[in-house]
Amino acid sequence: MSGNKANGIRYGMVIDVDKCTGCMACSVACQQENNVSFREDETNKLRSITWLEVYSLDNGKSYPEHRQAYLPRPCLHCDTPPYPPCTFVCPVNATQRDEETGLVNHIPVRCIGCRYCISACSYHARYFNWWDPKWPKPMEEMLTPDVSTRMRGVVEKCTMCVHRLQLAKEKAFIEGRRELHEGEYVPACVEACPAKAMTFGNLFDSHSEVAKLAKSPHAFRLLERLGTEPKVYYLSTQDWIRKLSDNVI
Amino acid sequence: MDSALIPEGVKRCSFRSFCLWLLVIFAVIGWGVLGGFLVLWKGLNQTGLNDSFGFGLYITADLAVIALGAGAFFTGFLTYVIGKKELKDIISLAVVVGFICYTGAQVVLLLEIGQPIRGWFSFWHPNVHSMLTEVIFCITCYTIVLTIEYLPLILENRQLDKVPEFHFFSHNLHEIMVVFAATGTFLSFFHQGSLGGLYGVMFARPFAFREGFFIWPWTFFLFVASAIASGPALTILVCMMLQGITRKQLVKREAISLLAKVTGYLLAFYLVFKFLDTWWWATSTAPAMGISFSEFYQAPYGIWLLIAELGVCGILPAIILLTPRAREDDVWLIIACVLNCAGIVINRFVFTVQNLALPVLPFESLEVYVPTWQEWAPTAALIAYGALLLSVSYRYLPMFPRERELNPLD
Amino acid sequence: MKLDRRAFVKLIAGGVGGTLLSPLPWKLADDTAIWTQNWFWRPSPERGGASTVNTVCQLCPGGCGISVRLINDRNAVNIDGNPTHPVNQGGICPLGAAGLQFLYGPSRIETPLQQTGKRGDLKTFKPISWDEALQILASQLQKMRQQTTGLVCVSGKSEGTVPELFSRFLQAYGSPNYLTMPAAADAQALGSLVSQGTSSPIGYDLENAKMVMSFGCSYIEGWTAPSRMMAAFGGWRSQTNRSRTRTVQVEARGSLSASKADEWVAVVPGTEAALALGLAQVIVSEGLYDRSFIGQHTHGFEEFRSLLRRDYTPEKVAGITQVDKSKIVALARDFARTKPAVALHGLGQGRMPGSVYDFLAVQSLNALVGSLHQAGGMSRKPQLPLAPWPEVVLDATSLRGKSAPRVDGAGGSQFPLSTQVFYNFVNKAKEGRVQPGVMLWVYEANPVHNLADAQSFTAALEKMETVVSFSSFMDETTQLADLVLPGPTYLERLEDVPTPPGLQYRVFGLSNPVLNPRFETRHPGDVLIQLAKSLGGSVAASFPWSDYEAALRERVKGLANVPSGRVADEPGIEPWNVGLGQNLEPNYGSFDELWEKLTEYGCWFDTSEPMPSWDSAFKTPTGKFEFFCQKMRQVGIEGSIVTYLPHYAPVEPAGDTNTYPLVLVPYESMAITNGPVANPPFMTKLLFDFQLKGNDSFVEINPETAGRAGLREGDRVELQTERGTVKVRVHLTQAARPGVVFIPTGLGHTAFDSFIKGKGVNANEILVVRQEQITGLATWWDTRVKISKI
Ligand SMILES: Nc1nc2c(c(=O)[nH]1)N[C@H]1C(S)=C(S)[C@@H](COP(=O)(O)OP(=O)(O)OC[C@H]3O[C@@H](n4cnc5c(=O)[nH]c(N)nc54)[C@H](O)[C@@H]3O)O[C@H]1N2
Ligand SMILES: Nc1nc2c(c(=O)[nH]1)N[C@H]1C(S)=C(S)[C@@H](COP(=O)(O)OP(=O)(O)OC[C@H]3O[C@@H](n4cnc5c(=O)[nH]c(N)nc54)[C@H](O)[C@@H]3O)O[C@H]1N2
Ligand code: SF4
Ligand code: SF4
Ligand code: SF4
Ligand code: SF4
Ligand code: SF4
Ligand SMILES: [Mo]
Repeated sequence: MSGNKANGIRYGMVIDVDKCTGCMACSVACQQENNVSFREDETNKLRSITWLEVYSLDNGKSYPEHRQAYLPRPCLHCDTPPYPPCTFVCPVNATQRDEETGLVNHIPVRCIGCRYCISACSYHARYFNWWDPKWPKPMEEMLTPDVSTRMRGVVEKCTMCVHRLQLAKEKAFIEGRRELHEGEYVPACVEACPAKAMTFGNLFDSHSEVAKLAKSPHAFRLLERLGTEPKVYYLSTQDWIRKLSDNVI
Repeated sequence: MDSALIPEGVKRCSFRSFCLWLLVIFAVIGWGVLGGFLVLWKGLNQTGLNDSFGFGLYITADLAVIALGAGAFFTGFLTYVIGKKELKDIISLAVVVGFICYTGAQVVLLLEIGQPIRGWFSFWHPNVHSMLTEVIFCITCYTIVLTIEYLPLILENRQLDKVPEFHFFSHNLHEIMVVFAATGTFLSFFHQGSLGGLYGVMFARPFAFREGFFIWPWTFFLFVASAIASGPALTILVCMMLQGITRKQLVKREAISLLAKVTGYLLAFYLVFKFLDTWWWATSTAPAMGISFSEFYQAPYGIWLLIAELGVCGILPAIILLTPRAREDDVWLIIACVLNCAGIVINRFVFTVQNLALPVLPFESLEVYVPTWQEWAPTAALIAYGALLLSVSYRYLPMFPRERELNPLD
Repeated sequence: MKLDRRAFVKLIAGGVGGTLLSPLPWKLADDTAIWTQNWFWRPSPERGGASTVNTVCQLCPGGCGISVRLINDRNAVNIDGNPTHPVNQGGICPLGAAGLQFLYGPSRIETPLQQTGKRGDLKTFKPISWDEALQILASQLQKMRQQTTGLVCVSGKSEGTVPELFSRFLQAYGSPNYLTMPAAADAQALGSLVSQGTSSPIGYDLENAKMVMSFGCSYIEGWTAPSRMMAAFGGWRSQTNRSRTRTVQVEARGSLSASKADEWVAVVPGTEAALALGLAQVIVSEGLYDRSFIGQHTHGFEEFRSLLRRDYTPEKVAGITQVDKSKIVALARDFARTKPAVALHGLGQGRMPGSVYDFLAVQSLNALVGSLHQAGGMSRKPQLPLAPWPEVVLDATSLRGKSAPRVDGAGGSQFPLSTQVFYNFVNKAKEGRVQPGVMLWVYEANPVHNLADAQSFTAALEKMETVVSFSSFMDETTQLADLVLPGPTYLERLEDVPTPPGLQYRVFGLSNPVLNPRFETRHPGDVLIQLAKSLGGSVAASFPWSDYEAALRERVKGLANVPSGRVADEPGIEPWNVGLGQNLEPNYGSFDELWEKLTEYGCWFDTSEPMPSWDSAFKTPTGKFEFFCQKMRQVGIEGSIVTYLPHYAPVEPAGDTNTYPLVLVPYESMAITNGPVANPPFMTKLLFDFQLKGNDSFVEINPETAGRAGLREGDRVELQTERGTVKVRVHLTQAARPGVVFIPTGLGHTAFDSFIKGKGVNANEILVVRQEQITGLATWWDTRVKISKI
């Protein structure tokens, strides 16, 4: 990975599709954690914000050979050298990859809403605020102060719960540490998953669980051929699921 | 009524008819303003755009209009830098058309971004890697250049010219116009390229992505070529249209013929490279991304788009324009120019809409984009705005230096 | 004025340069940049110190430990799973994660309400004070008690001290009519009673099973305790679990549970139990059963064997279930040879009681392979060692009530076994066959929406003199109430959460109020105590506590008196690995310390109760596990010998096959809640656009079925059953069995707020309820249906 430090930190995720029960708790936890807005009618899926979208896949076979699986998709925090598809194109530097951690951030207050990044991301990981985010009065009280609410006309996406990294770093700093322990910084979705289908950590740390799983023979990434180098890996022992991960002529 | 404003020695329609005509134009503009207002007030939810179609009709219209506006810089380049004197006849018209295209595009761009009030952040927090930054910088600068090129023409209005300062100012500007023409050429070359780069750099979008040269994808160069191949065609069209409407000869036929010939060669030149690009893209770039050429063309965005763009609106007009007998015939010339312009619009459309309609994740399916009236109205208003500026400029400014000579008042 | 070219250029250049060099444009630009980044209408969440309070989720019976994050000890901003809690081990389900949308939901009821106009008219609800509300209720109860004891209570919860207080109140007051919402547990309790002599709820040692065969249970889609099931599933699929647990799903629909199973056995809907008996037949005929258990601890095996031989050969079962003969044989061998293997009962999420024989069939499979009361098998949910409350004080009225016939006829001559026959109550009330002047209480339930054949309950409600709701939300049932006594939500109240359904070890959860009640709500426990006090006499004497907390503490004292058990104060303890019968060293010394720790961590658990041994497990007349159920005969149920044996006794779907050619089967998913609460916005957001589009919900049908009916994806159709019609759209999927229409439950609300109201249709409006002859238990799994394009 040219352009990236050889042995720094690369936060990443492994999602075991076989373990995933399709409950979507991850997606709800993300919405709660990140003050994602909601509307009365969210059935236009092309205008509905879910940083962690759960896709429904099937093997295309007839009853009773038919099988389905759900595939949760946060932002994949592409590690493309030198820039991910989305940050490369942003005219105002509203989204960048932090080269210390590999996390692809996005600053809504900087974003001009040109949606060039939306067009550039082949994973549909970015969402536009088509409406003014509004919460019914009492529900404003459940907004967390850890993450700013967004405004109409800007893009938003999964930040890998970067504010949790910030909190973990602060805690470590107070305790006089410069490095975080494994598991000290865990995103909300990973924490919520009742089946423990998601694993998070430093992909560059060969001892970490996530690095080991990412090297599993069952590991794959979405659209590897595009060279986007996602830092979110998937696991499945099922061929039909792996086949759906990439385009092959 | 307004005769004092009309250039000396030329005939114009009655003020009454002119007002009626303006009324029509203002109706369309009003419709566009209403659509635009709704978009600004209520947000982009008023459009047919969504998270799949980040770009849509606005961007298509912008890109097409900017490409077609290339007639201004290219005619300027031929006139001032190369020194094709016969084009002096048509240069003012080319500048006005260019000015219309660029200013109109910027207004529509403002509607298109979600936070128009932050539009200028690209100057304040620029990302030098972004093709869009390049586009925004170049378009802005070039619009300034076009304004400067347009200004002397405005100041030559019969009444304004009476003010000595204005006279002095416009005279001085004329003197240094070659500098602006050169600057314009440089800027325009770059941003036409950046517009192509805008798509070509999307390496996660197999339909748009192109390999390239140094930091530029091939689309960078193709967009430049296609713009200069079609821009002058629009200039010719507008000129012929004005001559048709006014039932007057406004420029010498040599000027039009020269421009038509140049356009023909440029179009042929562009098509050679466009075909090479398409072939390489279909057989090499796309397969490497795991996608076959046929997967790119799915109804309603079928292969007909490619045939229309490169065949009917590409090869056909090129042949017409390169055949001297055909291009000397007004009807054939108009057909060729219309097809040429349409080809460029289709090209910008497929890069914008078809590109985004296609699924990239294997488990997704094609999406179809349907613009709303709030998108059509400002687009129509953009055209009406062009008509307005042209009408007013023609009526009150000496846009065609040979008009008096070619149409003596008896 | 003279201006030459030089001067002109100078003027322009100087002007531009001067302005640019001054700080003015830069300062203005920067200010504008900041200004354009902040909008006053953007909600600005209150900042402040964060704290975390542990409690227990009560949005379903799953009993998960949760940690609620608060800002300034006031605003709850997040709910996470509590990693120290043994049931969910830090995980959480989507409903639990969206819990704050209930706390802050727009459909909360803020004060007691009295209906002053027509029932169902929201505008004529008059807010009243608690004193007024209690006075109205007490005086009415007082008056009723002198003439009749027509008080009926429907509780959505079956276990815990608050439901106990309700049932206690009814006893003391003198009414036998305490009902809980129908559930698979009803059939399980009756089945256990007749075959094992005890009606304790079932517990499964799933974490230690090597093979799990689910007979129609949505085992990862909300069956029993959802988070526990998902955690168990994650364990089964663990990368480090070398001898991986195999799962088999027997179901008509290619659900997620089916797709995620190692094997999906697609059966005709409603024939799941027949397949179980088919497997039993192969196991018996091939001699693969547990000889020591069958030989020494069972009664009626020979009768069962002959029945199997006669009616459940692979050929016959293949005919019923449409599963290949060879597959039946292979599955049976696999199930008998994999040890330990366990078979699960309870269709879908377990909301439908079904037939007692279905339970007996599945249970017999566990018995045959020796999986009853064994590690990795099926057992009882251990009881919590809670201290008892003093006996209820009975006066003449309450004694009379105790022996009075129940409103639903349960325990009478028609249904001697049953403790409740819910739909008998519904049908009798609907037809006006209950005494006049009945008062209905509804607690933690929304029967008007959630019961199959929803219209019948609504019609029954109309016949009630008074309807009292204890709900925190303006749900469909509460809308029709005369008096609303709103309770606080689970995040604002103290309450015990006893061992979740299906668990094999003891768990006592304590739900703590994480913040002060946001509105004028009152704990139903406190309401009952206050009500009893104002009724006076023996009723008051039966409620000797000052408040609910005192009553709860009294029971919890029992936990401190057993020498085992821990408050879950650290993550990583997995009770199923500790082993049942193993004592856990208590991490508290006294009751006070236990209580304090409980309020801090929210959970006590214990593994000291071993599974019952085969010698002592069965309280039947023979002291053995009875394939041949003596108890049925004892209570006077008549019939042939088959009546007393596990067998396949389908209750034919209602409607004739000519008018209604297809079969309608409801399905449940994790993304749509079916409980007393409606879908929170966060969850509705998750629905695919082939489940809900605008306000239209979709039914699933096979493309082949659709082709025959001339239907295409997204077409609008009318579904007609004997019960009624609804309008939906169709989603074509190969997950649907040809000839079957699958309809999601939990949608189609007509109450709550704009985020849920009017979205989709309520499946319960067209599901036809049939009742089992001997138990009155209801089933609505399959209904005949006609589909027509509109
Ligand atoms: N978790 C978390 N931590 C954060 C942030 C976050 O977003 N999340 N934001 C960070 C940021 S951006 C900032 S600026 C800091 C702010 O951090 P602080 O600078 O600590 O801000 P305040 O909490 O406003 O505290 C300022 C203190 O000044 C006092 N004060 C008010 N007026 C006067 C005055 O006129 N004279 C004097 N002498 N005292 C006065 C107030 O009473 C208060 O005690 O917090 C940082 N810390
Ligand atoms: N109620 C209230 N309002 C306040 C204040 C207060 O104390 N109380 N304090 C005021 C003060 S002092 C300040 S400074 C402002 C702060 O106000 P804001 O700047 O609006 O809020 P923040 O939440 O601090 O962060 C802004 C955004 O940065 C993004 N972000 C987070 N981490 C990163 C990162 O690592 N990289 C990038 N590029 N983006 C990131 C997040 O998506 C977040 O949306 O609020 C002001 N407003
Ligand atoms: S997934 Fe999309 S948004 Fe996320 S880093 Fe990659 S390109 Fe950017
Ligand atoms: S939408 Fe926002 S983040 Fe995306 S490219 Fe445009 S300015 Fe950048
Ligand atoms: S990492 Fe955080 S922001 Fe990203 S999907 Fe998970 S919860 Fe959402
Ligand atoms: S929470 Fe876990 S199991 Fe549920 S959908 Fe997300 S990844 Fe899958
Ligand atoms: S499974 Fe039940 S108890 Fe657990 S979090 Fe979900 S709703 Fe709450
Ligand atoms: Mo700040």
